[in-house]
Amino acid sequence: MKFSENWLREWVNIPLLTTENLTHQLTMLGLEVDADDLVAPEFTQVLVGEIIEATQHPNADRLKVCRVNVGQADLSTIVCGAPNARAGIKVPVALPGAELPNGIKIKRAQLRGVESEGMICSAKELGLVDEKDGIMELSSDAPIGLNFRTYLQLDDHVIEVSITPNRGDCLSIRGIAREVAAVNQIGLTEPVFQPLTPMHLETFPIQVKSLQDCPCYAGRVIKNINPNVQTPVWMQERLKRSGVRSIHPVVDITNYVMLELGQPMHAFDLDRLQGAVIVRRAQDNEQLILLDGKTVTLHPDTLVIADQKQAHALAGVMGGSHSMVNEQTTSLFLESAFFNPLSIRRSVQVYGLHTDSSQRFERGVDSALAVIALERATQLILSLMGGDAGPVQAVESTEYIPVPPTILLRQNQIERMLGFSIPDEQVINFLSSLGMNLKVIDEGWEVTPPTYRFDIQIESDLIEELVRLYGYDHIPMEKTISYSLSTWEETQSIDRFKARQVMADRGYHEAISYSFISEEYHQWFASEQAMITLSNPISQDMSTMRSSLWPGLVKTFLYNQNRQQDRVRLFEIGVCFSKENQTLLQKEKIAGLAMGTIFPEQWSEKNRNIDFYDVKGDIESLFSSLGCHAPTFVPENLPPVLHPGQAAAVIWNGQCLGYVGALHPHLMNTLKLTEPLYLFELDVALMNAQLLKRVFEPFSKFPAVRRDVSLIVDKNLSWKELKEKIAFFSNEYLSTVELFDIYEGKPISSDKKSVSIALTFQSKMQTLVEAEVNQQMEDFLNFLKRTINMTLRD
Amino acid sequence: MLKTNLNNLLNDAEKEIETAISLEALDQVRIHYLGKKGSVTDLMKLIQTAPAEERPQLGQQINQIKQVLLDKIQEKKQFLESSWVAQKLTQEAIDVTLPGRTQAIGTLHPVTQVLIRAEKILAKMGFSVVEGPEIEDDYHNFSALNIPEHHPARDMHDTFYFSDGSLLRTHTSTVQIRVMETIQPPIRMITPGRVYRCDSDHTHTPMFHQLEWLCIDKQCSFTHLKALIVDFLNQFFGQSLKIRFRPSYFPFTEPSAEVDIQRGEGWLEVLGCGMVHPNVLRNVGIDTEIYSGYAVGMGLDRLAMLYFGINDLRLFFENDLRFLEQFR
Repeated sequence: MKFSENWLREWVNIPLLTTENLTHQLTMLGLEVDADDLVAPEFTQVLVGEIIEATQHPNADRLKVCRVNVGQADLSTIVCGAPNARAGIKVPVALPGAELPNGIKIKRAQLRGVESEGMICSAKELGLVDEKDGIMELSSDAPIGLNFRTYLQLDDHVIEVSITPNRGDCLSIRGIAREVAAVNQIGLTEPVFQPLTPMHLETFPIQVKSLQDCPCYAGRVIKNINPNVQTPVWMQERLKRSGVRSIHPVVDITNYVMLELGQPMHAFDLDRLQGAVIVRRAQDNEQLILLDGKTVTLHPDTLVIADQKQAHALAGVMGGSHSMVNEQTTSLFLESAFFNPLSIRRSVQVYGLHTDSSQRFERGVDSALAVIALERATQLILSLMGGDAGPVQAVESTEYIPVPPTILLRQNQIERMLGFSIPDEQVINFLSSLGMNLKVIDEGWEVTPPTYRFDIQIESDLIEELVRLYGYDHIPMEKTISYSLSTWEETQSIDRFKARQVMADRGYHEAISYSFISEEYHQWFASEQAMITLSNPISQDMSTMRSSLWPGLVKTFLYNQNRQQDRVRLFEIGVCFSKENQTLLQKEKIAGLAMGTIFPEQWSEKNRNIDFYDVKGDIESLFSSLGCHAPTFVPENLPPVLHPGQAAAVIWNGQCLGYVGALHPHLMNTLKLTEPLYLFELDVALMNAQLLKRVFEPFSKFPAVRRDVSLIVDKNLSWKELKEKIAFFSNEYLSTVELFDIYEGKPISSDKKSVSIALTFQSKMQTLVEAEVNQQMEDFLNFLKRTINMTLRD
Repeated sequence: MLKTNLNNLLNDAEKEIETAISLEALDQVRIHYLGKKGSVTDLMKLIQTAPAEERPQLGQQINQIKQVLLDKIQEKKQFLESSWVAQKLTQEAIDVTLPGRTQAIGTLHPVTQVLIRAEKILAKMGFSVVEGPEIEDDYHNFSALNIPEHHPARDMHDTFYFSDGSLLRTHTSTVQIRVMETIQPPIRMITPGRVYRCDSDHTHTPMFHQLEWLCIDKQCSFTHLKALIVDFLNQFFGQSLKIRFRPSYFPFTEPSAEVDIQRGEGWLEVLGCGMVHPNVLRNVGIDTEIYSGYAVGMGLDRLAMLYFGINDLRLFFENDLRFLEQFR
């Protein structure tokens, strides 16, 4: 809600309250001030003038010499370059000595041989608009010689407050004035207008078919208005300061009353209505051409204002073009109604139309206001446009008009909720100043809020009102001692902050990517998964819920690659979405992406590109640092996005925790990648189950003996298989088996490879002697020879 | 004769000590004169041949020479040692200004860093962390939180929907409901997470992060809430801030407040809060005559922007390495 400060001050005048204090008060009342702008910057000595004569400049094609009446004895001669300078228009004139906002000081000056006694100003030169559009043309009734600032009431501020959805009553000058009056504990200065005595008895029938949608409909006929009148400048300016364009005097007046009192109204051209005004739900497929020229096909739930022939307006939202007032209109049917907020909201949602009117009706308009606003608008129309008003007609349903509740306010609840007490007399004072009726009872009060405060329904609402006027600044602070450990903390889970830290320590940067991806990415990375798509995505690129973190990471990688990053490590922890037997699953995953060299550019080590084992090492470190059992890596059941020869499923306890591997060459082609890209993804919940409880294990005090041996085995024998065989060799002294070299090539035949392992023998009871270790080694090698196809390397 | 020998020997030895250029050479000199078969040792043996009355004096002289030589050798040894060390130091000097040999360290996303910071403070204040689903139903996102269908407050939330009517949660307040449905008060929880609104411009992204606090107990009042928030914000920003509470509106709290901190001339909104609305408590079956509560909701992205001086929200989700790398 934007409004003129001067207008507000007409309603609640506190001369000592500066603009700054006023805006502070509004903010602290919950009417947050978003902006407070001067209507016009400072300038002096600008008067209203009239161009009496405009002739071609003798020495310049583009200049005119104007004779201007600024209310002084003599006409002023002013040279002007604006194309719209012409005789007969009223303009702002800066006289010699004037200072304009851009710092220009106006002096008498010779312009190509003609002396100019001032300047005719454009709106831009006066700082009123940003774009230049010739000199400013004023209304023909602008008084010549009047100070231009006085004429347009430019010594004013435009204050913009954001009104929360519960405070529909503050979408008007009156509503905001009430708040200011309450906090300053003074009264309102309401404009005086008396109910009008009807000048004729002509009425127009009103039929309300749906009282539930429209509990109160008031209207009146006004005839013989003067269609040639212009909206007065003061009203235009106030509308403008509220962001409302001046359209037609009648429309301007209804808008003015809406801004002033909060009652949206509509004026129909009476001559375009047939038989009666009918408030009803729309018929199926009924058409309505709106004010803005758009045609809508009406939904049967929609409330319309119709006559006997057709719909004329979307009730409470927007009028129709057929019966709108225009330059020929001389008879009006003026509408002022109370609509059910839900009915209006339905229309807003169905047609996507947000108007000043619907905004107010949706939030709720004072149900007691319709006739008052009708009288106010009539008064303005008659005083500005003439005309004869008929009697007020009103159809009301007491059944559906909301009745303010009677709310019990218990004195002890105030302290319980707020933590401090407010004295009784202050409670009474605060609530009364907000227009509430109080009745003292034993426990406290019975409070009835005014009809415009439909947001006040329960005791807490009243307590909020009290503390609002008490001032949030004055609420004391009280510290508490508190603890709570609840059942959700009993289940063990991995420390995800630590997981993040481990990944960061290993060189990965944490990314946060959108949870929705494009359908295309889904097809590329998870075509086997059902798509979960948004009904109203922001764009097609963000339409499908991710079932994996990989699309986001790969997209992020591409983004960075396009910005000359050739070494990328990224990880993300986030929820992924999938469906299993129609059940929605929301699983948290941790995923990583790596490509490029093992080290960033550096001087000391031989650099190389990363490979599968680097990324596998990162995962193993992650498990180890988080205190999880070490998983195994099995090249089975791989997702199709991974390279089948360079990928593994991460398995623990028979369960697949996730995958690691190189991106499939297929997808590399699709994404136009040349360098291999490594990915991993793990299910966080499954990792939780993998947490191991550390128990101290005594270690041997006796020295260990290491023996190295190189085995020639079949090339396709995996380390996992070999390790499993070795594990079958039970021996109390063999404590560790470490792999330290793999060799393929001459002189070993091409279907074989050499695997070098280090065996450590150690006893917990004694120092092992040479002979014992030798015997152990022999047993071990004999065992291996029996179980696998192998020879010793020389 | 012996005396002359003694003087020559002393002169020779002193010369040799002086010219010894290494510790090894010096040791040779020591062995030559003072070793088991050294010249001075030999002279000691000669004492036996001297007349008995001269022996004590001779012995004394030889011992003196021995002591002089020992001192000279020790002195020279120290000199040689220190010059050896000095030489070694010169030879082994490296350019320590070269970069250290280290792996590149990654980073935590600034939003994560801010969350960690906030959670640490809130954990000290007794809050437990709990999380909830991101795809939610209408009940938990709206109705249970006192936002019935057709309520204008729904306009504050541009919601992403799925065809079955489920939605992406528009706030983390959904988790309040899920916790209160399963746990009896007292409750003191925080819940961080992603939230979604169908809105995208330079100050809005369709996904962002919130951190919600909830406390339900027998003695919960606005004065406690105010103290808690002031303490939290001062701790979080590591300075004593000017903090302003002003009335606002949330359907699920009453009274409600927005909290601003002062930066320069103006005020910046950092969070919203209030006393839990009785309708919300009733919806989850908590007796409002016994219990009351307060709730706080903050935007983590906004907090991260303030904390790190980031000027564009969209940077958070572009994940440009030049951005991420700054938050080591």
